[in-house]
Order: sequence, then C-alpha cells, then structure tokens
Amino acid sequence: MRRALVRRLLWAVPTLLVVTFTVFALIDLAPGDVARGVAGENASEAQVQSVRERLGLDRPLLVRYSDWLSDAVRGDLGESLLTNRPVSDMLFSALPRTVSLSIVSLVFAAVLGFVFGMLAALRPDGILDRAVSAGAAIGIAVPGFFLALVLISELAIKRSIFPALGYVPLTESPVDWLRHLILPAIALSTVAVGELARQLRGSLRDVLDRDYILAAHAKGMTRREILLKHALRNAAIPVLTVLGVRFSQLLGGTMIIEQIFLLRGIGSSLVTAVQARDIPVVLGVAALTTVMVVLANILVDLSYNYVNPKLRRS
Amino acid sequence: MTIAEHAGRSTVSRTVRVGRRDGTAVTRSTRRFAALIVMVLVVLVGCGDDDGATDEDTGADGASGVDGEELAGGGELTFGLGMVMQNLDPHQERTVGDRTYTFALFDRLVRLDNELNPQPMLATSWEFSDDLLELTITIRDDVTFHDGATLDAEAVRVNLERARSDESSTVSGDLAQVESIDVAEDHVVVLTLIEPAPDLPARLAGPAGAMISPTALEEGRDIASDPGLAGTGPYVVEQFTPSETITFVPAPGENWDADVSPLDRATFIVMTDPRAMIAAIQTGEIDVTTVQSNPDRIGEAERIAAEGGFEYHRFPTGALDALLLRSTVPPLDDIRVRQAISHAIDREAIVSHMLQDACTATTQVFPEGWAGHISDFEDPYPYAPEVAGELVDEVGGLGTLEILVNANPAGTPVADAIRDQLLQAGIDAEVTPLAAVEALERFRGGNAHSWQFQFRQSYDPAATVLEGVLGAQLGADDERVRTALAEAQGHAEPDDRLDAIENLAEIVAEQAFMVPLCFVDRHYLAGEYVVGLEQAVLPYDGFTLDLRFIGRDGE
Repeated sequence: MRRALVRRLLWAVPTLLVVTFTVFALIDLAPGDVARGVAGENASEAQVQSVRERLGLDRPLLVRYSDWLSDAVRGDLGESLLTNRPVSDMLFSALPRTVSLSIVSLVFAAVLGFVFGMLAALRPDGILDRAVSAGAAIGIAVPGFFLALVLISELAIKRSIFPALGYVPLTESPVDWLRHLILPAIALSTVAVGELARQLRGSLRDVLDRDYILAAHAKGMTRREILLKHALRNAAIPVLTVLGVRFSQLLGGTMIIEQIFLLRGIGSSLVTAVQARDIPVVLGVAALTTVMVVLANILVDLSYNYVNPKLRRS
Repeated sequence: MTIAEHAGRSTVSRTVRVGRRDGTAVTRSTRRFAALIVMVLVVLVGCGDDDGATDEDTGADGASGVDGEELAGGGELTFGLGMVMQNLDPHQERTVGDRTYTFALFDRLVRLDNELNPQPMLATSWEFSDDLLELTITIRDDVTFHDGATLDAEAVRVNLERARSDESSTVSGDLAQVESIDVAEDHVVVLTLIEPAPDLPARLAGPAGAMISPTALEEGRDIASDPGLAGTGPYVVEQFTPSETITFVPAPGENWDADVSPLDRATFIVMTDPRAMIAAIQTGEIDVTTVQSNPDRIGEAERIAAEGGFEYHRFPTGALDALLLRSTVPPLDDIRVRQAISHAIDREAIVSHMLQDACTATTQVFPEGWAGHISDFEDPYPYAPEVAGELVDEVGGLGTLEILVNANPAGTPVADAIRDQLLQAGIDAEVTPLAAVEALERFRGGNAHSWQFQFRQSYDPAATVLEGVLGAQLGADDERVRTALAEAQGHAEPDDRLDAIENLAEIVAEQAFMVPLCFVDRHYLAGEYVVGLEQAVLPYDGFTLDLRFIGRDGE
C-alpha cells in the first residue's frame, strides 16, 4: 500500500507538468492581447508595448513557461497581471471558500446519497424506491445554476431563511459559515446526490442478493447487523469511486455557483482570470486544482483499504 | 425481510425496466414523472418573473425618490457594482469605472458642473494667455494632504509631470499638448502648450488633474494598492481587496471643502452576476446596485421598486452605443461605404422595438446638454436601405463586413439586428462575438471593420474628437476633421467655441466614422433610505459616483 501511495504521488508530478503546460499554451494561443487588457482601454500603442515588455510577454512561450515553473517549484506562483497581487495570496484567500463549499456539498451528497440509496435498496420497486429514482433523475437533470436561482428566490428573498450570497469564515462564526454555504451546497450537490443514491441502490441490491447475506439471515443476524457489518461495506466500494469522481466534477461546478452566490472562491477567480488572460492566476488555479484532484483520488484509494480488509492485508 | 420473502422477491416484477439490469435503471413511468416535475419547476420560476407588471403610474422612473435638497451624509452604505477596482492610482486609470474609487480619495484641480463648465476645486482660478499657448492656474492655499504635505504649486507641478510623462501613466493623452509645467509663485503654476487647448481645464477635472501627496510619491508609496493618506479627498481606504471589495471611511481631520458630508463607511462589492445583484438588494445585503441595461432587468427593477422599499433611478451617462467603423481599413476607407452602412441601419427599430427604449436613441455623437449637441440636427444618413444599395453598387460591392461584438451569454441581439438590416440592404455581414479584450485588440489594431460597442466621451467635445475619433478609439485620419478641430481649439471661452464645436460635430457626423445608435443610460436600484443618489451620479459621466453627498436617511 505504501508503495502504491508513493507511486501515486510520483505520478502527480508529470500530471502537474502536463496540465500546467497545456493550460499555459492554450491561454497563450487564445486570441487577444494580454498586454492591451492590462494597459487598459485608454492606453496608447506605445504604452501597450511597454506593458508587453515589462511583463515579458514578448518572450517565447517555452521561455516564459520554464521561468514560471522554476519559480513555482520554489513556491512563487508569480503576481496577477491585473492587480499585482501575489497569486499565492489570492489563492490562499480563495481556497478556504472553495474547499468549504466542496466539503459541505460532498457531505450533503454522501449523507443524502447514502440514505436515499439505502432506503431505495431496502424497499425495491416500492413507492420509496420509485420516489428515490425519480428524485435522482431530477437531481441529475436540473442544472445547478437553475436550482441556485430557485433556492435564492424561495429561501433567501421571499422567506429570508438563508442569506442570498457571501461567505463567512469558519473561524469567525461556524453557524454563519454553514448558513452561507447551505444554499450553494444544495445547488452544487444535487447531481452527486442523485448519482450516489442510484449507485448505492444498485450495488446494495446486488450485495443483498448474494449467498452470504442469505446465510447471515439464516444464522439469525438482525437486518441492521447484516446491513452495517456486511452489506454496506461491500456495496460501498463502487460508491466511493463515484464519490471520488464527483469531487473532481464538484470543483468544476463551483465556478458558476460561486459567481451566483458571490463566494469568491478559486472557481470565480479562474473565470475572471481567463476572461482577462491573467496567465499567472490561471496557471496557479490549474496547478492547485490538479493537486486537489490527485489528493482526492489518493484518499479514495486509501478508503478502499478501510472498507476492504483484503486490500489492507495485500 | 425473511428468507422466503427474499427468495420470492426476485420473481415479482410489475414494472417495465428501461436500461441496464444492474439496479440503476429508471422506469419509463418514473422518467415521465421526473420530466413533469422539471416542467412544473420551470413554469413556476418563469411565472414568478412575470408577476407584478410594471405600473407606469407608480413613479418608477428616473425622477423618483427624494427631492434632493437634503444632501445629507453620514451612515453606512454598501454598493454592489460591476465596476472592478484594481488600481487606485488615478494616473494609472484603466477604465472610466475606476473614477468612483479614485475620485473619493483624490481631489482634482477642477470639477465640472451640470453644464460641463469647469468650476474651481483645488484650483481657484485659471486663465489662458491671449495666444492660448499658456494656461496660468492658481491653487488654493489652505489645503494639506491627509499625510501633512502641503498642496502648493510645486506639488501640482510634480503631479502634472507624473500624469504627463511617467511611463506608467495612462492619462498622459489628456496632457499631450502640455510642453512644460513651471512654478510661477507659491500657489501659481503655468502650463506652456504646444498648441491651443481650450478644453484643458475640463480635462483637469478628470484623473489627469488628480493631486497625490508629493511626500507619498517621493517615498515611493504604492498608490495603486495602498494609497494611505496620500489624497485630499473626503475618504481614505479602510480595506481594499483588488477586484473584490473596497471600504472607504472618512479621512481624518476637517476637509477643505466644508460642503462635503461623507458617509461613515462606504463599502463597494464587485458583483458581475445581475441576478445576484438583484437578490442581494432584496435581501438587504447591499443598499445600492446597478441594473443591467436590458428590458427584462429594467422591468424587474421597476417591479421591485413598485412593491415598496426601493427606488429605481435612471441616469444618462454620455456614453454612446454605436457601430464603430474603422475608416482606415478597406473598404471602409471609402466614405461611400460608411455612408451605405449608415443608411442601412434603422436605429429606431433597434432601440424602440428590440431594446424597448432601455437607452435613448440618437443620430448625434454628443448628448443633449453637452456642447456640440445640435438641437435641430438633421441626420445626414437617415434610414434608407435603397440608397445604401445604390452606394454599394456604385463602389462595386463590399465583400463581407465583419461586425465585432463583446460576447455575452445573453446573446448579441443588437449586433445580430444590424447584420440583418445590412443584409436587407445588400451588404453581406457577419457577427463575430469575442471576449472584450480580444475585440478591443482586434478593432484598435486595425484588424476588423467594425465593432458594436460604446464610444466613450471625454469631458469636452474637442477632446472627444481628438482622443476618440482621431485617437485610440476610432483611429480616424481626416483633414476636414483636423481643420474643424483646430478651429474649435482656437477659442478659449465656451460661448465663443460653441459654433465651432457644433461645426466640428456636423463634420464628424458627415464623415460617418460611426453609426450612433443610442445614448446609454445607467440604471440603479436603491433602498428608499438612500439619500442623494441623484447628486452622487455625475450628470456628465453616469458611470461615476461622487460619494461626497450621499447618505442614509435619518443620519
């Protein structure tokens, strides 16, 4: 297991290189002059050229990328072309918001997905099973941004139950932190809830049909014991895989949700940076999200060990 | 579940399974149910927007709200605006939107009144020499910067030199005609000009005339991100996160301008999603917001105001929405082509039917109330597609006209309408949506025919022509315009210049460097308790808020 972990971490290095270089090249090749955007709409041609030289934008792509890379490995992600703020500072302030949103969304998705999936599996073809299936289909079909607008309208504007936007740090007020994240987390997690519920329902049904479950029944184990000791653990492995995949997709989904709820996480920072061709910020976000996805996949792999003792022993 | 139940369960199935047999399939009836729920949700949300149609009689118009006499400051207000603040140095202004922030911190030598006449601010008076090649400015002798530095002629010289010639300055164009700046007395500065520039005092009402503490400049303070006490304005920065938020609090000590009544705290939050802005003001998280200039959003704002608790305001900005034509790019270098394009566009149809009068239709470049606006102006190129067709035949065809437009998730209806009208007149055209920075670069780099965008006015019509028409915005090169401009610049007094300015305006219109569509208005939604918004929005620059006189009712 340790060797597999080390191998995973080592593979992260070329992954990071490929991702950051690809992003760098795509941004660089996109039409539009970064220097003109930085210089502003009032700038003369001479000023635009001056900005271009000052930012080193007239140098070859590979030279610029290698400069960025050599700084990045030392922890220096450069400065925003627009605001001159260190990119690491920007990401440091934005990351807790995105991580908070992602974690709360993931917890919603995991808890609700497990509960609904389990209920559906235990009452196959019943009303509850059909309701869960319908709900899962709706959750997958309804776009997150649409749901976000409905939630804001109904629960923030008309009923003032939750705030419409903004973020409160956890250290400032845990209650307000959660209140500000509930609506965006619901909007972001519905697809994951639906997928997890369906996945767990299917895999749990499959496990409950196995002979050893029948044997457990025959031995007189209670339903609860069978479910918790045998069925869920075996049904959880494919669900954990889906959870890991959904985390990556959650990170992508934060972009729109963060803009609607004004959360100012790394997703909305990325949108602004791409529109303005703020290359250092785009690269910083790309590198950071790659690291997060790799870590998430490693965590999923580690969780397999917990769930399946055979993997632990091997 | 018993063993018997478990054994029997798998043989009982009354539903038709669609898809895979691994338990993840969805029944056909369930899918229909799900689709029905989604349709109901869509209808519910859609109906929510249609409820409460705008009632014209409730006064939800630009004149609504307080009577404006109580210029009360004080209180705290939060503004949700789309104007991004990245740089607080007025001499490094990137867009007009920066001025709301820089004007709060840094006073200028001059300000403009509602008729765009320069009035004293940090300068008490100014006078041109007879040949209009020298401008003598007298400075107030009772002003100090918040950091203790004195505002005197030397401080003014340092600032004007910085604005004029520093490599980071983006406002040097406003001082392009200034050859030298000299200190004549302790509070008197003389500007020597290379050519007459009677509009120079008006330009000093903009960022080029902003005064920054010379002590702060000498110390190398980073004015862009941390201006500290380097201004003389009514506010200083309490907190600043570029592109996100900025909070102003009153500057220490007594302001040189006794009429100023600053807010106790003014917070600006950058918000780009129009739905989020409306939601935020309805939940009380912000107090003032701008409303997107399209019929749906304006209707929604009017409805919210009609329900009570809020006021909807509409202000002119002076900005002109137009089809900008690059007259240096073939075939638009032929005036007949530009004339044909002008004749082919029916702006009334676009503004009144498509935009539902969200902006004010115009055939002129200069807004009403500005010098250069001609009350009995006759459009030299009225809508006449048949004339357009004749001109196209005369030049022997045009090829395909490319119309750039800033890409918008809501679509590009105006550009599409222009394209369709051009096609009807026999001019082949295509719309190319691009990111704003890309469209800017292509058009100003001379790599596109036209751009459906806003033409930005300067504070003086002559400056608009010099910097906009002949300068960076349109890059035109026309001898008649230059001659008319020189004629306008030959008069210092506004009344004497008026005829020349109007002549300049007519020539610019005749040369068809752009097809004016409408003047852009700025729409605001604010809590009823917000006082002085009408005074805060500069009448000649509706994108800029002057925070000197805005406050909360009861403070």
